[in-house]
Amino acid sequence: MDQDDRYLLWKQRRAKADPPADFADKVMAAIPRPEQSRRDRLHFRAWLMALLHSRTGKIGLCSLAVLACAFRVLQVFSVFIPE
Amino acid sequence: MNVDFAVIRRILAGNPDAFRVLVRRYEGHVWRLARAFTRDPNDCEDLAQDAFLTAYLRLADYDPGQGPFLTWLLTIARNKCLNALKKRKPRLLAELPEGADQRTPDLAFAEKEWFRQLDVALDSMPLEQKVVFLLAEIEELPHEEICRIEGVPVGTVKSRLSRAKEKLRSFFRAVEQP
Repeated sequence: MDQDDRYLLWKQRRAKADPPADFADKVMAAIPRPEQSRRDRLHFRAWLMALLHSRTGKIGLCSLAVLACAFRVLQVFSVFIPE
Repeated sequence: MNVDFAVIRRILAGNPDAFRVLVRRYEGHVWRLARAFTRDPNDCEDLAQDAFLTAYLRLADYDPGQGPFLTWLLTIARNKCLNALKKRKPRLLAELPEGADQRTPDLAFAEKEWFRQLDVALDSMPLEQKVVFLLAEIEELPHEEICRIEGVPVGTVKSRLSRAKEKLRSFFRAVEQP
């Protein structure tokens, strides 16, 4: 067998390097199902509603809003402060 | 291409199980591309799986007018592999051999050993040459598709391929003239 033949054989061998037989099963197991993502969305919505309707959640969100507002006001006033 | 698009439409219509058809059809191509980046079968499997998962999540972005599904899929796989290589460079590169084995083979060189040496010669090439060689010679993709996957002009693909072939030729010369 000459080199060309062996080279062709090698290429065929490389082209046949396939993944394990259960590869497709693993990929399919990893993909998110619509039911699952819908469930995740519902969970997130439920969590958000619980947060918005709880006293602690409301206080936390209001505090964050006040902090953000104060930061923005300071940012605006800092323009007038000489360096 | 139309066959792929029909499957993609089924998936986007809410039938995720149809994705198995695409995985079975193209798993070998993605696997072999990932093998060009790492010799560790576990890393290779992770990269190939990640590529398919990303393709599934971005399936709505696939435009059949831009080229075959395989080209799009291999572009994702290539980018995944490159990102993984950047993040885990020491580990992935450590899997690659330093260079071709310089031991002189005798005439009774076993075919298996000859193939192994050729694998080593391929693995020792710079990554961009190896990937282009793999896509052109092993996967037998047209140069235009390789341009899309690699994001480089045809001239660059041709020169990388020619350099890769020259390296393999020098391997043959080394085997011929001990």
